[in-house]
Amino acid sequence: MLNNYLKDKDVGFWFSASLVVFSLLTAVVYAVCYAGTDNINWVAFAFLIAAAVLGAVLIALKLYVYVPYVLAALIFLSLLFFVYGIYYYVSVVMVGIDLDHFEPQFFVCTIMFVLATAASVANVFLRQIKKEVREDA
Amino acid sequence: MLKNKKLLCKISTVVTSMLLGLSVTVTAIMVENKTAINNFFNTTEVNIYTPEDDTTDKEYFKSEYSNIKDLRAAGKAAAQRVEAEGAVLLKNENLQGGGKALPLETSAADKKKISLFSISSVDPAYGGRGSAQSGSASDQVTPQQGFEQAGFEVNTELLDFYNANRTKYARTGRGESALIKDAPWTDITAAVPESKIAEYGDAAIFILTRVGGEGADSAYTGTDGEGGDYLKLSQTEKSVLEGLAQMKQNGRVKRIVLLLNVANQVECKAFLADGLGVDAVLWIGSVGITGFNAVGDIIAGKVNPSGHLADTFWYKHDENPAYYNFGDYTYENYSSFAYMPVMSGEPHSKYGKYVVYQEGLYVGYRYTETRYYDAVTGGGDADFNYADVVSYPFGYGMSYTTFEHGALSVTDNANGTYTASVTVTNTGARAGKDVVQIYVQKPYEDFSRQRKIQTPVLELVGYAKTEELAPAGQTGSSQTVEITVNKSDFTSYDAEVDKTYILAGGNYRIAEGADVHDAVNNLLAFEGNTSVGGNENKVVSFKIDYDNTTYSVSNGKTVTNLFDEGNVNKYFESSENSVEYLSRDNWAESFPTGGVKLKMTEKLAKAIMAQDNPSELVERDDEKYPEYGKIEGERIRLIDLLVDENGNKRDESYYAYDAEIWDKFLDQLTWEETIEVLNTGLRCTAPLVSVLKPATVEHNGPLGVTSAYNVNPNGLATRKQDPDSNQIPPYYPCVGVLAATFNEELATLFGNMMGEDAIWAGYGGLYGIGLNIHRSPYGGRLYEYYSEDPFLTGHMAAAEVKALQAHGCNAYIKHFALNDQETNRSGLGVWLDEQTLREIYLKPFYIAVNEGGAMNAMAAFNRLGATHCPANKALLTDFLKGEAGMKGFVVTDMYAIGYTAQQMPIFMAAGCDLPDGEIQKLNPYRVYKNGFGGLAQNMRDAVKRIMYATVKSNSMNGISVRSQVNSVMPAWRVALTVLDCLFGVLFAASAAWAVVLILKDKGIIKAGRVDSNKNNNENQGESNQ
Repeated sequence: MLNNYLKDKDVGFWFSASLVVFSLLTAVVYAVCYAGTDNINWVAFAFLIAAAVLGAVLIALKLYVYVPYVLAALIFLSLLFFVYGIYYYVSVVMVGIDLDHFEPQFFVCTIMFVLATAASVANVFLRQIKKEVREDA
Repeated sequence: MLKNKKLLCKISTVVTSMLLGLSVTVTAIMVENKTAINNFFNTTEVNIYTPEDDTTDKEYFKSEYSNIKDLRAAGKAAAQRVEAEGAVLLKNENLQGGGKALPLETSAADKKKISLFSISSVDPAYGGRGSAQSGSASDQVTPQQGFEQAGFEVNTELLDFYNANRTKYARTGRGESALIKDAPWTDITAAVPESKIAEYGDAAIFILTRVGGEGADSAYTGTDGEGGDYLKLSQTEKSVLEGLAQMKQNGRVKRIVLLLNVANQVECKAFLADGLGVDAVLWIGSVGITGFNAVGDIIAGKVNPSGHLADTFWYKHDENPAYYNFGDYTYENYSSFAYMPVMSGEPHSKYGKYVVYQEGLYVGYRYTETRYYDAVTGGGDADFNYADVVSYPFGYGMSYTTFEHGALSVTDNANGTYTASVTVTNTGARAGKDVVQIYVQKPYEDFSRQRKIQTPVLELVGYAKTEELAPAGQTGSSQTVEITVNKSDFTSYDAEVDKTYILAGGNYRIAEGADVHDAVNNLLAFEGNTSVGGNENKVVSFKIDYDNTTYSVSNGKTVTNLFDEGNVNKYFESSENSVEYLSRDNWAESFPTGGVKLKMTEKLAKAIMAQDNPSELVERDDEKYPEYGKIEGERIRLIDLLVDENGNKRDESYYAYDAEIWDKFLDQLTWEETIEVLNTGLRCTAPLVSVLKPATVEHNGPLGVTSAYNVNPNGLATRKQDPDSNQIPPYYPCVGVLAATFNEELATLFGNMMGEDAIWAGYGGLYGIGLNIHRSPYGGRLYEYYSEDPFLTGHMAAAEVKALQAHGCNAYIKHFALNDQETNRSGLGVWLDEQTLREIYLKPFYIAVNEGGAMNAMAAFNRLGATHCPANKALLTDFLKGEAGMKGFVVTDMYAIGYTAQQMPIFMAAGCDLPDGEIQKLNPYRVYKNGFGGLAQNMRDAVKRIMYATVKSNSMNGISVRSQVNSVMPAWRVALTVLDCLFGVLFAASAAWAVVLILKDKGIIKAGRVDSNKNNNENQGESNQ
């Protein structure tokens, strides 16, 4: 049955599924790193959660073709709000007043957000369902 | 074909959407910080212009200089002069071959050859980190240049070695991650043979540097200093000093001189240790732009050192009682209060940290000398060994000559002052200056003990520096110094019975001494103790009656207890938390042995959290709102307060703080305008078009302007288009060096030069002067503060403030109050008793305002007890604006680090007027338009104070009664708007295209109708089919 379900899935589907998980993971890591600080932007967190939930729902509803667009839009928005939330911290470090170097959590979160965004954009150009199957359908 | 179009459409939509998103985000961030961006780009959103034919004098604060070249030269000379008089010669031993180690006289005929050691020989501390960070002027004097101009030949091979390895040996990090590093002796001698060092062996000069700064203290552990302590020698430094000692022993180096290039101090035990063979030690602080010229001159004997320590130099830092309550302390059982914020699973540093000033009044010499006195007189524990505690006492400083101080005489002027008189005579062979220090001993008897009034044995109440006295036997070798001493400085704060400043009845003694320890010995001699070698003629005793009224009113305000809530023993139930403060009645038992442990309580937790919630602390009331938008007759503009209709400057009484004109002026402003002014304060105050209020721009940092002169359009440099306007103004030695001059003339010079730079650079204010106390040598920002002594701090600052403000540059004295450590500074709860708070930590602020006229202040990040300083009404409204009489306004410290915009209404209610940040977008006042009359009155008062400070600043320069104003959109905002629109249009087009393709794909519209560009006729035909 699982084989049946997976047989028509193309590489994009796997990307989407991975992104759903990665969005959730990024949201959790982001919250763990920055909850309780002035540098967290909960809208960014919400967009990541929304990306994960909506992505999963769309996959469950077999609306595969919409998944990459929804993921890309939500993840990109989360990146923008992440930037909006973190820019002051970056300026503080750059000025060197309260901090003189970036802390590991900054690098971790930045890399995760950027990776998620890049992957979600790439995913837009990937096929979710194998062509012949799609055509058959 | 369609596939390609789809791909192209996808790419286009993705790219344009990302560009639009990024563009909008960047715009949001930049607009949110428009004040800073405008400052950066030298642009403005309010343009004030004056007709060209207006020839009235519009320079209300004039420069004494006609060009930047002359101004810079004068500033550099001033910095050098301050260093020359502030460097303190701590040690100057006799050499084995005879003579003193210093001075090392050099001449063209007998040029002395010296070697400079440590990475600091090429990378010394000119300033510190953070807000007072030194600039980057290309003409700052290096150690090599300083010594060469003094006539020395410097070992350049050694300097080349350090220069080639700058990165490898450079100091790095800060706080517990700070590394001293430097080059070990083996690396040095591998690169530069000992024979070369011997060739330049007239002196081996080791520059020992430590750098402090904002955001981190010097650490007890974690660094590569001995035992991890940043203020001890590192093994590497030790290896070099040991190597040099060996060379000296072998006769290859004649003398070892240690320069302490440290704004605070390193533990003296480290460099006084046997075997290191250091012959001379000169404390030079951080030196500013030209300080090394002065250092070279002192070493060469061209300048006779006359600096005296503004701090106690401890033999071992753990002998300082403040050592045990400095740094990082977390309230116990914090985590049992579930609503208290956590960060990474730990108590949040803004809510859960504290420090207790358990040493109470016994800061620095107040501890060392009182305990010494008590040990000698049998009042304390006899085991106290002064030499194990203090290496160089407060006020200590050597000279290349000797001075004799005659007997002290004191005259009661019967007006609340005394005149202390001392004749100082140069008894040596060199000209030089000396310092006269006057201390008071207040009675400490049962009266004080019963009231829990602590009384140090001596406290500084007067000082002066002599003129340069000619060598012995010559005319001008002697000077009688007269110092006015205020009786008010004899008071103690009685927090228990009278709850105000009192004079305890009894015998008061005025003592003079070469330093505080000498003064104590003189006092002991006066009391009949002959074993300590004091001079009884340097003490005068008289009786004063008990007085609890004369000093209980200040600036019309009754002085009484305001700060019980900062005292652990009064805030908490004794069953919850208590502390035994250090007491001279019980030295051994009350001496701190470890950090005071405090528990979080329900009361404290709620009080802390309430400050995040304006709805809890800003209450509705029935108070009437002020008038808004009421204009009677012609609108009064700010310039109309300053000059009359003919452009003549009005008498200051016309726009004095209490003048009636202000009511009419303020009535004109609308609610919206009030908010506009109060929401912008990022190193500036906002312009206001309707009343022609210019923006003021403030410089951040008390040691000199660190931006180029052409940084602001309103600066004289820009307006005059001076050819040197891209130069960076000189930066000055740390104010600890200034304090060590004990010369208020130099404080005036310091203020004058910074004021001149402000006029040329267009700064109407300075986020300084730093008035926190050198409570511990480990304080990160000590280079911005003067001394451990509040009297010296306050009076040097008052002189500096007066001079600075005479140039229309308003001082923002900071950090008010108790920001004496950097660790956990945002939200740190500082606990101490009211006597200590008033007599040590608030006193400099009081003096700077009351005597220096300091206009504005910056509230500190930390709390007093539970209450954030900017939310502390007792501190800001009752003390600073009340008792001290400050007329200007209070700004928060950088709000985005320490606070949120939503807290501003709480701060406003307490007397903090402006955020150090831009909060227009968040506009926390928008919900207070009705039902909060009390807050509205505070807001009106805040605007008044901002307007008052503006009209008294050089920001009014260039404006006349004929000036006009309009709003402009700076180029960067135009560019951003254009980009936003462009990307928006592109994205819309892409999105539309995508929709069409999707619709076509779904067959909702037919392909031909879309492809009309290519073949309209054909498509039309297809469509019809």
